[in-house]
Amino acid sequence: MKALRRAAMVLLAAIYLAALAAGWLVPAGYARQFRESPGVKPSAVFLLGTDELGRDAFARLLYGSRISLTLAPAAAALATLVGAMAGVSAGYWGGWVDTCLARLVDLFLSVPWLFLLLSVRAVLPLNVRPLESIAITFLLLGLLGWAGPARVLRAAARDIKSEDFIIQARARGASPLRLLRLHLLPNLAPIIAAQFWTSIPLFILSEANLGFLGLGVAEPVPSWGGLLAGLQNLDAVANCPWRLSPLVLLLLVMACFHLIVPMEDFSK
Amino acid sequence: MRMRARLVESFITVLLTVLLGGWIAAALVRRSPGFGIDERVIDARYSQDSIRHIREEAKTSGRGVLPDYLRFLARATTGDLGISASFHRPVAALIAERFPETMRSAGAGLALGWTAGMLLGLVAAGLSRPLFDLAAGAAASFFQCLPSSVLALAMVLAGGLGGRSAVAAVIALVIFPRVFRYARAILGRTAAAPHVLMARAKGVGPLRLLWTHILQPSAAGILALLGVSVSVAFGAAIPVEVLCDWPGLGQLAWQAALKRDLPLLVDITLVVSLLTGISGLAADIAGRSPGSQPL
Repeated sequence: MKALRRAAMVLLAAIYLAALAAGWLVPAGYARQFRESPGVKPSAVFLLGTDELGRDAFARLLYGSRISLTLAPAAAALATLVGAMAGVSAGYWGGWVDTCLARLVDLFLSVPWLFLLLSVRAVLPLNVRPLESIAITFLLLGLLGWAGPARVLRAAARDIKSEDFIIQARARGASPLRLLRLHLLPNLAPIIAAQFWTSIPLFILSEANLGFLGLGVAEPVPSWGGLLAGLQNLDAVANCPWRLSPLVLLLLVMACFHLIVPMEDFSK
Repeated sequence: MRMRARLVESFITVLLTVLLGGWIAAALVRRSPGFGIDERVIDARYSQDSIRHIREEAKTSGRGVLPDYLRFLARATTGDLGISASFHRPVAALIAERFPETMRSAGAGLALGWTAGMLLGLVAAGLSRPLFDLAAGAAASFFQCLPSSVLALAMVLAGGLGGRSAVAAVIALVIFPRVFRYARAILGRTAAAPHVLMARAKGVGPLRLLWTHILQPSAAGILALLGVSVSVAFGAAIPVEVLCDWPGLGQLAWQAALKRDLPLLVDITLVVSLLTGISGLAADIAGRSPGSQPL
């Protein structure tokens, strides 16, 4: 299992490095339209063929991977940060802060995740520039996905708060900030890290679903959600199986994440 | 008596949570760009004077988020959820039309997913064979790695399934891996507990061992997932209803999102939240029943 996990890490790193080197590997870029060769089969020039607009499918896959694989961790970091601030404050201070935050967490977790994303996405303007759509999509994931980490970290902070070493430090006159910095946060660090790693695959899947529904990253910028939406052209997929490459890559990346961090969060 | 008081408290908590959610949603909708803009102001047939009049009228008609929300709640108690701006029909009628469709397919999907997950979990925990564990775990991981939209696409590509069956199948495939993983972990832990070893040593039959000593003590933990699984099922219904053109709540929510019919979208979300809250409460009640407490 350890070897399999290591192999998954290496594969994930290789995919991410290839995505980062997209500008060097496919200098033509993701938006250039080769009007003389729309919908061509894979060849030495176009490794995965082109789409109906003559855009290089391999370039779009690499650039899409770069966006999804960079921004999902960014959204996960944001969600974990907000969740950690809320959860640790609630767990540490208790009282009305804990009650209010617990209700807010309940509220966020009671709404089905995709319904929540859809509702808040629709509140924001739909007709935005592609770069704005990237920011909106991942800020949305980051700012709405905090409740899960907050719940876990609140429980952990409450447990640690009642440990002997915390009581002793408090008795010796340690200030709340010192307690937080020297005692609470170092003990919570592994849980915070686990929450971060667990959130990444969930956000990748969420972006894929949003993009598939036409509410994710806007064209012509590629993302895995947008590329998967292209599979809705069933005739084209049946005749050109290589168009399934975004799905295969997504599956591969998700399997790697699955091997590295078990996906235990049930709520999304 | 104490149990009843806790139930009432839990129900009030669910209700207050949904009401608070509704208020936050109403405030968000109010602040959303373009909200409340009357299409008449961009109609060339209206004079500048008329447009100014329309704008002033719109300004005076809004009384603030809280009064408007309270008025909405008062109307909602009589079954009036307003009129959808994009469908030009009463929201209550739209939800009443679509809700049973999604409920039926979600119900079938949940039943299928739970049955498959529990059965596999039981067999895996009972057999304790690494090869079976590996195969079942790999199948669960495979389905957990796929977004529900891709599963929906696979259903359409496979063909042969009608709209409702496709929705139910996708929901089942989304629910099954999650139930399996939790059930496997909880049942496995219970099966290895000392009281089970003791019962086995005393010669308790396999069926009684399973029912009395493994399933019943694990029930509270497993049932806790019921509420969350309802929430996941409704979420998974959106892409498959969209793709299969199935007239359920998920499709309605998607259409409302694309047309920015925010009041309709908020109403749907509130209804679904209330349902998931109640199902969580039901799971809580079932988990607290005397037969399902851990030993």
